[in-house]
Formats: sequence, structure tokens, C-alpha cells
Amino acid sequence: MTARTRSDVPMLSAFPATARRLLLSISLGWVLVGAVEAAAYTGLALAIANRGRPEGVLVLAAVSVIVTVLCSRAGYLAGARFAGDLYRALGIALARTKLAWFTPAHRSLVTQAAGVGIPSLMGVPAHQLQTLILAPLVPVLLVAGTAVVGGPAPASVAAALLVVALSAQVLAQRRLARADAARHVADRHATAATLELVDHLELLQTVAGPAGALARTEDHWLPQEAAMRRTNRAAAPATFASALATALPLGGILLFLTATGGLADPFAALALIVLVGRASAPLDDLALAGIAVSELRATSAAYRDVVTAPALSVPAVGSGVLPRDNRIELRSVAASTALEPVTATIREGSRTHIAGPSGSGKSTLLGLLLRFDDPDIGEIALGGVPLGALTEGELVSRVAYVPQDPVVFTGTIASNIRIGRPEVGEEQIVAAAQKAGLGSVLDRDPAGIHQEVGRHGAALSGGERQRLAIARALIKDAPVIVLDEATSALDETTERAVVAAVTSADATIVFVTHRSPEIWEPDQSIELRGERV
Amino acid sequence: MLVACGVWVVTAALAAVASWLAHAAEARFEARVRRRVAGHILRLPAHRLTLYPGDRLRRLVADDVTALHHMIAHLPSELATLVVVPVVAVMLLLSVAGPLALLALIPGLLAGIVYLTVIPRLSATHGAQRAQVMTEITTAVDDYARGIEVLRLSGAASGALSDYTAATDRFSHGMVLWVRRIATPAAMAVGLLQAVASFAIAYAVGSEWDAPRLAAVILFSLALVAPALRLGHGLDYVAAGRAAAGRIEELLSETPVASGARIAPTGRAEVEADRVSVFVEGRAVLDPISFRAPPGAVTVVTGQSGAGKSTLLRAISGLQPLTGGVIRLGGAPVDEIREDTRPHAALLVPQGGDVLTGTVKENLQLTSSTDDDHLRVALEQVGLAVPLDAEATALSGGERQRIGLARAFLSPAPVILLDEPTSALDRRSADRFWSRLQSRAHDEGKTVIVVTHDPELAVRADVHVAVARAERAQEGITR
Repeated sequence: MTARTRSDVPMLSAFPATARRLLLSISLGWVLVGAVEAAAYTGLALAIANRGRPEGVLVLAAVSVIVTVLCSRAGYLAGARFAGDLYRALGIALARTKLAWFTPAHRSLVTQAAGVGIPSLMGVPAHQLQTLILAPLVPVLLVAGTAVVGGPAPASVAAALLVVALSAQVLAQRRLARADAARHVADRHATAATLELVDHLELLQTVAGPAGALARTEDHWLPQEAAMRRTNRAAAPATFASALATALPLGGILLFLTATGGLADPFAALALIVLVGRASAPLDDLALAGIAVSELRATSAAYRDVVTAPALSVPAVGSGVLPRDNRIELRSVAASTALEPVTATIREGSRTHIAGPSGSGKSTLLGLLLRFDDPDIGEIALGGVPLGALTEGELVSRVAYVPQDPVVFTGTIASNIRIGRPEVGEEQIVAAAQKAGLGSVLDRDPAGIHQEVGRHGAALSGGERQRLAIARALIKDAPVIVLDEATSALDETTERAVVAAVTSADATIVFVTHRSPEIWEPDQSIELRGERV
Repeated sequence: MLVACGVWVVTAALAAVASWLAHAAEARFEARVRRRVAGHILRLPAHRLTLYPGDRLRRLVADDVTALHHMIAHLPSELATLVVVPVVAVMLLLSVAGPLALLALIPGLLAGIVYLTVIPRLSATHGAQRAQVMTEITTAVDDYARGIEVLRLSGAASGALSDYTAATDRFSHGMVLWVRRIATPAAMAVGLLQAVASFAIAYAVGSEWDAPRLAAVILFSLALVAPALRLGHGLDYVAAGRAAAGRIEELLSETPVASGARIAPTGRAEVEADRVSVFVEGRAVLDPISFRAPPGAVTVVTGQSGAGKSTLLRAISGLQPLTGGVIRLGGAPVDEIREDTRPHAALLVPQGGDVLTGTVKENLQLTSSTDDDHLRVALEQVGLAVPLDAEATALSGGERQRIGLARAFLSPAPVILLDEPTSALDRRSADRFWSRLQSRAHDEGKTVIVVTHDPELAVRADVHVAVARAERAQEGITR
């Protein structure tokens, strides 16, 4: 996707085709509303100027109201369906995005898109489209109406007045936005400081005390408060200019009528005033449309970043090649920034220690083994088949993984272990938990494996969460187990027992540890060099 | 004509001044509220703080303060739009065009009624349902993204994604149902708010009238449309502001930790715990315990998980009020020590190795604003070989823990409290750290109290305190 196509179709390209068609039809609806509305005002003005009967006016107004009602209603319903389409597309994208993409920053992008982005996009068909289409369309059509009712002279004057008023509004808003730009930066810093206060409460309390901690946060609040005062001062003249601009078309047309003697026919004058008044009504919205559009653009760009996140190519289901065994070969595997080229063979059933200083790419290498991403150079083969030629199911069935940061889901111990192998019975879960050293945890609660672990495992200690992650890997009975600092929070006795349980499994063990690797009884060690950057 | 122009200019100027005044006054108010809320959170007792999870605190300091701000900032202009302008316009309409002209107000009135009564009634339960489903969606997405490696490598990703799909389906379904219910009345309100509706009625009423009367009925017929439009944008922020005010009030009604006027002890300070106990909502978190931790010695606190070891350390540092007994630092009861000098009396290095975003140097300088050489010495004491300008959050878990430990070597406090200081250190580093800690106590007269589960280190301590497991259920004692 190039930058060019991005700007060509700024917002639409992010959305699925069904959603795009929905937006298009609602847009056409709003164009119709604008046309009927302008016709109704013109009809009214003609009636006023010619002292016509009110029936025609009432009919036109009724048609305009009905068309608006129908289009609004369709817009609301489309908004709800639109959100559904966006959520579905997001779900499909998440399922195929490569694992290496899910960095903390990208994770929060996903949460943001689902929690804030899509709900806000829901308002597009009913609200944003209404403003974006009616605000420019109605004034243009009403200038034409003015020409019909009053002739070309007042129409040209009205058009000129509208252009001047809009320009003044836009200038005032731009000025305000410039004054406000500094505040946005200050706002972000202030928010970051506020979040720091909350997220590191205990640390700040203990090292700085309440007053010291507050003073630290205040250092970031004060510039924001000063920026707010500056914005407010800049807003006053902008508000003034904008209020004058709003009144300018009506005032101008009155002056024009006075100057040209148009007030001699008060009814014709009233007709013109009605038309110009309505034509100038949407100018405020129009001046602000730029902001609405750039917000929409940012929201849809964030959404697009998520739905177009990179995926790895996988062979179609059923077409993958079957590995002949579980021997792993690393053939000059390297990742541009994180890993120097490595060539090694990990025999089936062996225990391999991945060693190296911090930053040498140990976790990166494990990630490549598990195909979180493809290496930039070289190739990894499992049982003679390159990982890229394996179906996801085939790879998944052969590996189990214990990450550095044990992921525990809200639920019970059992539900967390069962993720490793959904079909297992309770006895097997208990056995796996015991093997992973969770016996004392099961004993302390009569609910045993059915005890709740709190939100994201908050009721468990760091070491307990690690043991839970190990139990989840053990129950899977996979021929390859990959462990990344899996026992870092365990005391030595517990670690010894847990490692014994892991190494006694009939599997190839690939592990990283910052402690001494002896208790793992490794058959070989792959030493990564590389300096911390 | 000139008068009219003058009035326009004056109105515009008044609007600008009014908006400036309202925002300036409000900004001062917001600044005060924000400081009070944050200050109160910082002074909440540790056991009360556990009832305020991170997202709740974040909402209080950030969102709730903002919500309150919006409500108060917009109130003056809202009053003008919703009350003053329509009342004046209706009076002018009556006096110039007569009572029949009131018919032209019908569309605006109807739209206002729809916004004020029909829609809120139809969506009464929807708001709560929607909030619930939104939480389900963000939880599902959050869990999915957080555990994606584990889930996909377990072949369980489709299951987790089905939680997401189910939640989003519920969202779409609920949304469609709700929209179906309110779409017609809401769309009718939008239609009625078109000026053409009011104008047409006005013309029907006044088509036979003379020009000034007709002009009055047409131009003032929109008297109720502007306020109704405002109602259409919703008064949600008023409800949001009131709810926020309620939550802020609830926080401010919490009793903060006590402090007094005594200056923190300097030099050597014995820690004396005299029948100290902590109960939370009737449950014992720390059973009564008495001990003395003398200066110049390392005192180790051991006990089963959940026995209240961390609570004890927090109590000594003054973050956790006691239910019974008293803790004295160098003879001064903890709760009588001046709040700002408390970190200088007893430095607590909490569990977990938390660091702030910023360099290693910035993190260490929170404890002591000493020069770089001293900071490097402290890092050397804990075996951390990273440059002072390294980004602290980019360090590994063990390295971050060492930043906390380095504070123990920088702080001027006579009492140093360490909670599981070696949990992320390897054997050799832990041994080395312990030796340095002992010299810090023995040579410099510091009172060092350490909670540890490492028996090999514990046996090397000078004084041993065992905390018995408090009598209570296991749940609810996290941190």
C-alpha cells in the first residue's frame, strides 16, 4: 500500500466493500435531502415574494421533512450495520496477522480500534455524512434559488458574502487551531504524567512521598494549564470574528437591499432574507468540517493499520508437506536488527540451551522457531520441511511454548491449563498442575483447579503464574517445547522440581535461562554473540 | 440599519468575553480539583488502595476530572441557548405577531419533546447494556491480543476469537435493535428541526399578514429550534459530570493515612513494633506481632505466602494504618511523623522492580539528587552495569529490580525496607547483593529489614522475625 493511494481515497479504502457501498448509498440519500430542502426554501421564497398560496409551501416542506426522516433513519440503521461490518473485518484480520506484529504498541492499537475507533465510526452515516454533504451543498443550491427569486444581482452579492463569511470563519478557526496546537502537546504530556502517577503509585509514594510525587506530576500539569490559558485568550478574538462572520451575509444583503432600494418591496426583501439566512446557517459547520474530516481520517487510518497488518504466507489447508520427524535445522538464520546469523541443528529429543548476553536475540530466535515471523535471511526447517511450507495446524500440533511473561487469562486454573489441550479431562489437568509445581496452590483452596485466578491472574504470584504457563505447555504433550526464561520467578527448589518435570517429558527442549543451565542437563548450547545496542 | 449593525458587533463581543470568562474560571477550578484528587489518591492507605484498581484510578484523575470540567464549562452557554434565547424570542414573537404565530413553534417543540422524553425512555436500558457489551468487546480483544502467541500456538486462537465475535455480534445486534426502536422518532426530530418545517407553518399562518408581521413570524419561528438542536446533541455530559462528581466525592471521603508534625529521625533509628496488627473489613491481614529491629543489623522477615509480610513493611513505611499497636521509628510513632519527611525516615523498596519512564539516572535521582559518581557507585553495589542514560523501561526484569535495590544504597533514610529484593536475581548476584547490604547495615548503622523467601539468604541475617499466617480465607489479599 503506497502513500499515494492513501491520500487518494483517504478514508474509504480502510473499510470492507459492503461498508463502502452502504456509505455510498447513504451519501446519495443526503444529496437528495439537500436538493429537496433547497427546493422547499426556494418555493417558500417565491411564495413570499409573489404573495402566493401557502398550500404549495406546506407540501414542499412536508416532502422535505419526510425525505429527511427517511434518510436519517436509514443512516442510523446503516451506522449499526457499518459497525458490525467493521468488527467482522477486524476479527478476520486479527486471525491472520503474524504474531511478531503484536507488539505492546500494536496491541493497544487493536484495543483502541475495537473499543473507541469503531464505535465512533458508527456515527458516520447518520451524522458526519449529513454535515459533510448538506453543509456545502445547501448554500450552493440556495444561491441558485436566490437567482431564481431575485435575479442575478442579489445572487452574486449573496455568493460573495457567503464566500467572505466562510473565509473569515475558516481563518478564525485556523488561528484558534494554531494557538491550540501547543496545547495538544502539553495535553499529551500532562496525561502521560497523570497516568504515570497512577501506574507507579507505590513507587512514587515510597520514594517521593505524597507531596513529592504530586510535585513531579504538577511539573507537567503547569505547562498544560498555561497552554490552556493561552488557547482561551486566543479563542476570545476567534469567537468574536466568527460571530461577526455568521451575521455577515444577512447584514450584507440588508445593506445591499437598502442601497439598491430593494426594501421598497418588503415581501421580495423578506424572501431574499429568508434564502440568504438559510444559506449562511451551515457556514459554522462547514468551517469546522476540516477538523471533523481529519479526525475521521485518523480514526480510519488507525483502523486500516490494524486490518492490513502483515500476515505470513501459509500453504492452503491440506496442501502442506508433512515433516518426517521433529529435528530442527537453523540454516544461516538472521533477523536484520536483532539476530546475527545462526546455523545449528537441534536433534529430536535433545535439550538445547540458547545462550548469549542480553540483546543478542535469544527471544527473537525462539520466536523464529515458533514462526512468530519469518527470518530476514536463511531458513528454519522442522523435520526437513521449511516452516513456511507447514500449515499452521501442523506447526501448532508439534510445538508448545512458555513465554517470558506468562500470559494468564481471567478464569480458573483449569480453564487456563485447558487452553493447552481443550479435550483433556480433569485428572490430566491436576496431573499437569502437580508436575509444574502447583500442588501447594491447589491445596490452599478447596476449589483446587477450579479456583479463580483473578483478572489476568492477579490472585497468583509471579512464580505461580509461570508454573501455570508451564503446566499449560506440559499438558499439550507436544514433541517440541520452547521455554523463554520460563522459571525466572521461581525459587531454586521449586525451579529444580519444575525443570525436572519438563526435561523428563518425551520432547525436544529448547530453552533460554539467565540462571545456570546445568539443572536442565543440556545436550548442546547455541551461543549467540552480539552486543547490546 | 446602523443600530442593527452595532447590536451585532456588541453581541459578538459579549459572546467572546463571556466564553473567555467561563473558561478561565473553570480552568482554575479544574486545576484545583485535579490536585486534590491526585493528592488524596497518594495518601490513601494501602489496603484501601487495593479497592481502586488501576483503571478506576485512571478514570478518577483523568476522565472524571475532565467530565466535571465539561459540565461546568458549558453550563453558562447552555443556559443561554436553552432558556434565555427561546424565552426572549417567544416574547418578541407574541408581541409583534400575536398568539396565532405560536403555531410556528410546533415543530421545534415536538423535536424538543422527542429528545427530552421519548428517546431517553426508549434507550433507558440501552446505555447500560451497551457499556456492558463494550467492556466485553475490549476484554475479548485485549485478552486475544495479549495472549495471541499462547492462544495461536495452542490452536486455541479460534476459541478466543469466538469470544470476540460473540461479543461484537451482541454489540451489533443490540445496536440494531436499539436503533430500530429509536431510529424513527430520532429521524422525525431531525426532520422537524429543518427550518423549512417551521417556516412553512409560519407562512401558512401569516401569508395574509403585512410584511413586518410576516417577517416576525417567519424569523422568530425558529425560537425553539436552536434549543432543540442543542438537546439533540445530548445532555449526556450533564449526567456524566454528575456521575463523575459522585465518584470524586466518594474518593475524597476516604480517610487518608495519618501524619503528624514530628521530624523524621536521622542517624540511627531502631524500628519497634509493639503488638502491631492489621485488620481489613474484620479480617486479619496481619496477626498481632511485636519485635525490635535494631540499627546496624539486617533483620529478616519470613513467613508463608499471605502471612502479611508486605503489609508489615508498608506499615513500617507509613503507607498502611494499623488496627492495633504502634510502630516507632527511632522512638517516634510512624503516624506522627511529618508526611514529607517520611520517605527520609524509612525507604521502602517494593516488590516487582517498578521503574518510571526515563533514564536510569532520572529514576535514581528520585531517591537522591546526588552526582553521577555516587549514582554509579550505587549501581556498582547492586551489580548493574548499564549507562546512566540508558532507558530504564528497556531493561530486563532483573535489571529493573536492581534499580530499586540501588535506591537502598542511595537513600539517606536510617531505615531501609526491602520486599523480596532478590526474586529476579541469580544466585551469585543475590549473594553479592546480600553481602553489600550487610555492610550497609553493619558499617553505616542502617536499620535494614528484608522480606525474603530465600532460605539461604535468610540464615545470614542478624535478627529473625517470623510472621505467622493470619487466620483468614486466602482470597482478596493480593498485594
